[in-house]
Amino acid sequence: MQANIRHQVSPYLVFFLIYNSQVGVGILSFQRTIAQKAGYDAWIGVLAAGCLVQAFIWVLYKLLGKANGDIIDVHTTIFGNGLGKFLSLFIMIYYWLASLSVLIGFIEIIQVWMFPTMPSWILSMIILLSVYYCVSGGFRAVVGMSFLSFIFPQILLIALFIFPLKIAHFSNLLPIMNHSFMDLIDSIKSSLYTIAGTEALLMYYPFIRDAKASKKFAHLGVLFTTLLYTISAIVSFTFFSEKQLKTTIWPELSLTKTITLSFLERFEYLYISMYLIIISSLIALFLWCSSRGLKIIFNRKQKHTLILLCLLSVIICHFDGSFKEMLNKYIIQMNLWVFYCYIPLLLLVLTFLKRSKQNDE
Amino acid sequence: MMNRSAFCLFLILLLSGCSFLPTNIVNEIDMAQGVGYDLSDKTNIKGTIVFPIFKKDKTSTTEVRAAIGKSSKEIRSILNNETRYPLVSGQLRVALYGKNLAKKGINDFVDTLHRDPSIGSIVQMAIVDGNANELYKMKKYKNDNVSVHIQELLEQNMKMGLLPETNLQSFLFQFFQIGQDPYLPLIKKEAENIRITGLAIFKDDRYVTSIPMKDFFIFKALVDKNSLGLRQFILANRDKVVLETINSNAKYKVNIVHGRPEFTINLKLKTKLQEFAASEKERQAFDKKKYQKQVEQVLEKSALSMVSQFQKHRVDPLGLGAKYKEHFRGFNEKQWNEDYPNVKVHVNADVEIVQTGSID
Repeated sequence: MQANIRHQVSPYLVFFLIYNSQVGVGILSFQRTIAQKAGYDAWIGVLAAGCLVQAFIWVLYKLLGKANGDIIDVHTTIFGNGLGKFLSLFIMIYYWLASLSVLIGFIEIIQVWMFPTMPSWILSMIILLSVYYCVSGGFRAVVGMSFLSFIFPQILLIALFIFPLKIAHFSNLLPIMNHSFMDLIDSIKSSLYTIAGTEALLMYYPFIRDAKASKKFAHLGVLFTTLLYTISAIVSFTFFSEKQLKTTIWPELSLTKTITLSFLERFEYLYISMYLIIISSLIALFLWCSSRGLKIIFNRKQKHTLILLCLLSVIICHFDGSFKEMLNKYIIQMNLWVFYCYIPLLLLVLTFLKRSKQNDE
Repeated sequence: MMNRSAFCLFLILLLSGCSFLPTNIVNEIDMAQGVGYDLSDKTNIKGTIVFPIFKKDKTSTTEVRAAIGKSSKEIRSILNNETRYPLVSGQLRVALYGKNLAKKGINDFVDTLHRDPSIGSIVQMAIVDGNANELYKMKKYKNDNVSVHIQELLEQNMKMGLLPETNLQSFLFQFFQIGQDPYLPLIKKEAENIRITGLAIFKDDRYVTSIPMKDFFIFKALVDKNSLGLRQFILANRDKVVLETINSNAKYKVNIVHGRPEFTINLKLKTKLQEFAASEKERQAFDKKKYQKQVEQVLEKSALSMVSQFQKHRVDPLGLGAKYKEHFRGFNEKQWNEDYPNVKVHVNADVEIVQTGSID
């Protein structure tokens, strides 16, 4: 089922959507998690994970192209109306939980680095208000936000990669491939979640005009983010010694501390504030996906499902605690099983179904 | 219409959230710019905090306060009871540690600098040969901001002088790096002046030994990527040659001989002649080739004696262990620590005098 052409966007904008959905709070802290076991060989894991995501994009385009619609259409063609919608509900809940984990992560950063006494509910309210405003403008507004979130931060990101070069210890990366294969697999696993996000394509696919032509932009987007993550990992690895990195919770924010300009002594405040654009557009995209899915499943207005999700997010942000660690643990597992095992299986099933139908005719 | 005004009211209520933020107005806080820690007795530390006081129409003065406590934040909260405005640490520039404290280990006091996100990582650190508190209290710097003075003293010497580059980040990097030990500048109060007198070398976070001023030139050339600096060479026949580095490059090579590492350091220096006084009184043109060779020999000798001093104290500020680890996959930290004092190190200096100034 294709969306109305008035709501569709040009194929090249998929590049920005993919970038936006992949870059979140993870980029500020993933360097430590991937180096947990694989040490300073972990950047190879990031590249490998990027290749896996490229394959995943290929699967997504095959699957959605066959069904010519979103994931709910896929589910209903295979499982029928009732069960199909029930299974789609899980994916919508995943989208919402993913947006929630980004929100909680960012609020934690604001509280640690900028305003230690600010209560979470105010921060979540401010962010979600702007997100609500953006999402209620429809999918095209969400895409516009993604575009902005790509353009604005690039200059700062480049500054972040150039300034530490002066004191970089590139020899830290030597000797290359000094860890066992299983350690590398572990780093691939943890970087897969960091560069996750492309699964939002499952919902916005019908909104792309001439969707088949957008495939190359999706691959380009993934390539760009993979390189971004790899460079970011290498910069942190050359800047920190290995044990030091293991003590640092947000290596990328600690990196920004070294940047001092004569007119701006504390760059990290600017950097964190700028991150608000990236974070809110990412949350907007995921909440749009989730609320649209719920709208179709329960046959309600999208506005109502969106308000419900926002309110739930604010409440959970206020009462978090041990919830955050649990959320992250489950969401990583969910992401791995649902999108890297279940979706390829769906593709296989759908291909057989279509083929048997053709044979019948 | 009703809806919109309700929304506006809601937004106004939301703005009250701003009252959750503590405001820090710049002339209503005391910005700690320097901290110092000394050993007071067996369990207690004497902490010193230096902050400037700005007054209208008057030159600013620096206030030095000290208190005795067990942790650096405890000291700050004790001192907070004496100050007019709350003490904040966002503008910290210098952290000094007394030598006696440094001998016991400074990690407990570096931890808070590392942990506190409001402290930038360009904070300069130094070890005081003597007492940090006395250094801060010098009368001469009462009206001159003493912490900024020390910071700039250290920074200009790192940039243009002989002092190797150090700061909080480099200290933490070296402290956590496997196979390397940190180093920090050593400063001293000498005849009502603050002077850099040496370089303190650590084992983990404990001060072990120091290298004197005259070894700075070779040390900086060995550890920094592009070191500038001046050194006087008095050669065998009492010729005086003063050279200034334009460009330096140290390459470490690791060879494994009979299962043991051997290091070769190839040091390339491009220098220019700054001063030359031959022992013979007759004026003669400078013979580049002859002097290059002699200077190389002097440098190699002093580098080797410095390295053997490090080996004697079992400290590794050059990061030889880290270099060994890069080239040898089966690196074992324990084995390396045992081997280190007996490891062979060769130094090949290659000095090129590219300019002799406007005369030859």
